[in-house]
Amino acid sequence: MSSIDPTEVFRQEAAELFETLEGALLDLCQRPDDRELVDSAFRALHTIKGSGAMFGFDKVAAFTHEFETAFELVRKGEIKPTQALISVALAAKDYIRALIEAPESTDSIIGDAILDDLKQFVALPGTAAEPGQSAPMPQAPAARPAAHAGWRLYLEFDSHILCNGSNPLDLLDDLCKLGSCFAVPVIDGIPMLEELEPDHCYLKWDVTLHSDCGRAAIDDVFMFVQDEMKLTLAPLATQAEAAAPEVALQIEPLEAATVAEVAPAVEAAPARATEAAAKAPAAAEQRRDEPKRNEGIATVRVQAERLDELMDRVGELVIAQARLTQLAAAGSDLSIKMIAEEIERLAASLRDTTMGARMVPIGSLFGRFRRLVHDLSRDLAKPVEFVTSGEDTELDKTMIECLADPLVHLIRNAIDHGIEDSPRRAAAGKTENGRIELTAVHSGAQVLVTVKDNGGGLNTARIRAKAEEQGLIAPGATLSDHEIHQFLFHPGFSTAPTISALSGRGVGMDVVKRTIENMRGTIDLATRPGQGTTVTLRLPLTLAIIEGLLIRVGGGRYIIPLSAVEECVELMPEHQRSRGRNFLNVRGNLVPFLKLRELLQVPGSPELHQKTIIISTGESRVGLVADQIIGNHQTVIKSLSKLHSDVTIFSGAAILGDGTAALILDVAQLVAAAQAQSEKQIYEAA
Amino acid sequence: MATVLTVDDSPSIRQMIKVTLEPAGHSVIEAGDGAQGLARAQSSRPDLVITDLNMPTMNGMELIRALRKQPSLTGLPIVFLTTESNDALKQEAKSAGATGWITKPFKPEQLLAVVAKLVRS
Amino acid sequence: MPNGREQAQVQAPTARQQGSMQVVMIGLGDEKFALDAGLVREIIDPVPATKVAGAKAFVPSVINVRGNVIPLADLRIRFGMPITDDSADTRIVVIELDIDNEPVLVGVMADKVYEVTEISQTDVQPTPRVGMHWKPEFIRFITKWREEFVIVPSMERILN
Repeated sequence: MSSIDPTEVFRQEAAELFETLEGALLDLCQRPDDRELVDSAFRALHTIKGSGAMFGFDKVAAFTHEFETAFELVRKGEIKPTQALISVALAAKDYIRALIEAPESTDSIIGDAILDDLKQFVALPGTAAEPGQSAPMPQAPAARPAAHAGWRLYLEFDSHILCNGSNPLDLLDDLCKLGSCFAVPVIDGIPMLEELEPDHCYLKWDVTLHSDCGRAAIDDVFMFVQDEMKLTLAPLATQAEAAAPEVALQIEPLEAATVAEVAPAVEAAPARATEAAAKAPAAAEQRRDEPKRNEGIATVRVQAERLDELMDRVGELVIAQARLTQLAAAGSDLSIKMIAEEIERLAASLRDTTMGARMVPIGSLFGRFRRLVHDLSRDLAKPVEFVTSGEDTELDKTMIECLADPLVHLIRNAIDHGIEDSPRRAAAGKTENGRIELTAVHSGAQVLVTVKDNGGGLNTARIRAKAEEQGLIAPGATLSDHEIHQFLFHPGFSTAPTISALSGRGVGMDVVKRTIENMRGTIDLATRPGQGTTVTLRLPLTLAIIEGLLIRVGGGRYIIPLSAVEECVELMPEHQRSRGRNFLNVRGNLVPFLKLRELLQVPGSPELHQKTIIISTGESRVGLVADQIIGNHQTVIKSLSKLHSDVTIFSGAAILGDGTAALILDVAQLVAAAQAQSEKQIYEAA
Repeated sequence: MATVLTVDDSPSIRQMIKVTLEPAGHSVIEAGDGAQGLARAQSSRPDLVITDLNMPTMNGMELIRALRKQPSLTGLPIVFLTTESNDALKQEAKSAGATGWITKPFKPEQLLAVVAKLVRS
Repeated sequence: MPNGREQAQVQAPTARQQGSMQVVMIGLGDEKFALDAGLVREIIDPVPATKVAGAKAFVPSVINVRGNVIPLADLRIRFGMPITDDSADTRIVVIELDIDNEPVLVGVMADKVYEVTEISQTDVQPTPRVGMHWKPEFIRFITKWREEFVIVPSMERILN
């Protein structure tokens, strides 16, 4: 794991920090006095600045520094996070984001303009401070020539220095590195044994350092402790014997017994040395126990591709396991059967765990839309309240990514077309603020995501008029409101009487529908005139695995997603023979049926006892006629390659227990294809 | 070599410290905030703690104070990371019990030098 | 539509040494085809294929190769050759191609796989404009190998 490039980690982290920052800024609009929000924004900025500088994003660090300075004032309560300030802050955030993600697209003129705006709010000082200097470091001896033979030092440390992690002996070691060094401990400070605190430093040192190093090099040695010590320092005279007078005053007369080189001086600090020695084995033991008590970090970052790989491997394992089960069932060896069952159980739980690891709370996606609503609301001058719920609802990460664009479109639609402007809302006796609710909730094996607005609702008459105008329906045809609303999903369908700045951008409702259906989900519209519109997306929990019904048509096996299956009925012989009247009577309801044998171009004549699988595609129910229903089959979906992208009636393939591939029927496309075919036949017959 | 505990809410900084120190033979353990850092320091007995100051849940200053209250961790070197050469902040951290500091941005050599300065094998 | 000869000049084959190219020599019908060895991922024995209704005739089915469902292409259909039943020599050559800038694994039916060998690129024969019943854009170039003419097909064009 340590091979992961920290810069890449930083990019990912920055992306998350931007979301945090944006969320905090937007929340501040509502709750400008919330200290937590200010702190959270400040922390995000601080980290972006600090880490940005670390990974070479110097422009980011410099720019963020000024941004942070502004927020420091907010944090201190000196200025208020007004709407105007937050708008500038959001622009600044976008600029930093661009600096990291697409630096070539940024222009320092824009950055300067944003900084100017920021300065207006906070009256920043004109010059920016340097965003951090290089760390003060112990340096190699300074190159400049010294006119002296070295230094005479007298060191007296604060007594608590050992507790704070500094070790005078290490410091003396560092001095030794500067040149030949002679240190004499001064022991007059050591108290009587009963008064001696084992973790206090009582020793002082008198040091003669023969070196041409500069004063700075010595300061570097003591840089961390310079406030916790007395350091007296004088250059040695070129004659080594001559000591600086002020030093000499402070030293006891040298006695042979106390003179020691630095290395033996280790023995002169027995308390510290034995303590360290005693600590060492204990620490080693602790480390050996570490895996057991390794509970400090609750989450681990994993690259998304690795999760995909893991899912693929698990998929293969499930397939291999199915083959094993099949072989074991065919044989008579009981112990093999038991192992096969055990592996089946393990594979199933491994699959569940792996799928669980891919689940991401949808809240990460919802957060992005708050900015969208904020900006749209401002641009369209429609005050909108944005409410989300069910952020904890988990979905497969791939689904979350796929959902972003459709939801952007739905929310944009809701504000642009759904919510009325203020005068109209006032006239209708509604609250001034429009309201958009974005919710996610589990419903069985599905997740429902809804976008609800309290606007004017769909204008059914206008949709109908437009559909007639485009020739989609004959004038006067009888259609339910619901059927009329479905035209909104028709490619190129738009009822907007005026083209606003927003319409025509990006995807249309047809693309939204297709995206959702590609995820094996459905989309539904419900509207109440004058009260608003609700769009409901029904999504499977995961893209990777489906519950399917395995069927056989001729020699080929196919899978129908179980979510589409309503029931299975026997096809009576009279139905098989009928030509041109493909309807079943299912408890008094007429259900059209399609012969899969024909649709799938299977040669040969149908078998005797045909089965019909009744499926539902949104509004309509259709029967699919097959030769045999083999049973339920849980399967890992494999997508078909580009070479088969023109084949729409299959949504993918699965690998069966015997290692062959079976195609998964896309029931909606299958029904559509069959409709197109029969319309063509009618047309040709007419 | 030494066991170094890095306490930082920024995974990229933790990663940076890890990839710098591990090839030098140190083992690096991580914590994402002060509270986790305190728990890990107690459980893993590192030879050195490198902590950020600005963190959620328990900030670096609080962590330094809490670590210094642990009798079993007496003498543990604690280095803090700071983006400013802000003397007041340094003083505060020092009087809280920090051993030293590193100013961000730092280069890998600088980090290694500080570690070498504070832990001896 | 550019002719095959121009294509041969545009597409630089993966050369091992100057003027030679490593290939997997396969037999299809009565012809020998040289597949650029750089494209070949593996050669496997025939496995049961699953027919894909509505697919293009030259990629009529899919197969399972190590847990991946990949299309199985039949070049004989592209070159208008008669389809024969699998024999003991039949193999599937799994190649990796770039289709719309995405790597795609494709299985290619071969009546026989001869060997991995080197062919000369200096001995490139001009693709005859007459006497050919194949689309010239399917052919990168024709060269000589052991006194036989072999076709170096342009897999990207054949499968697109």
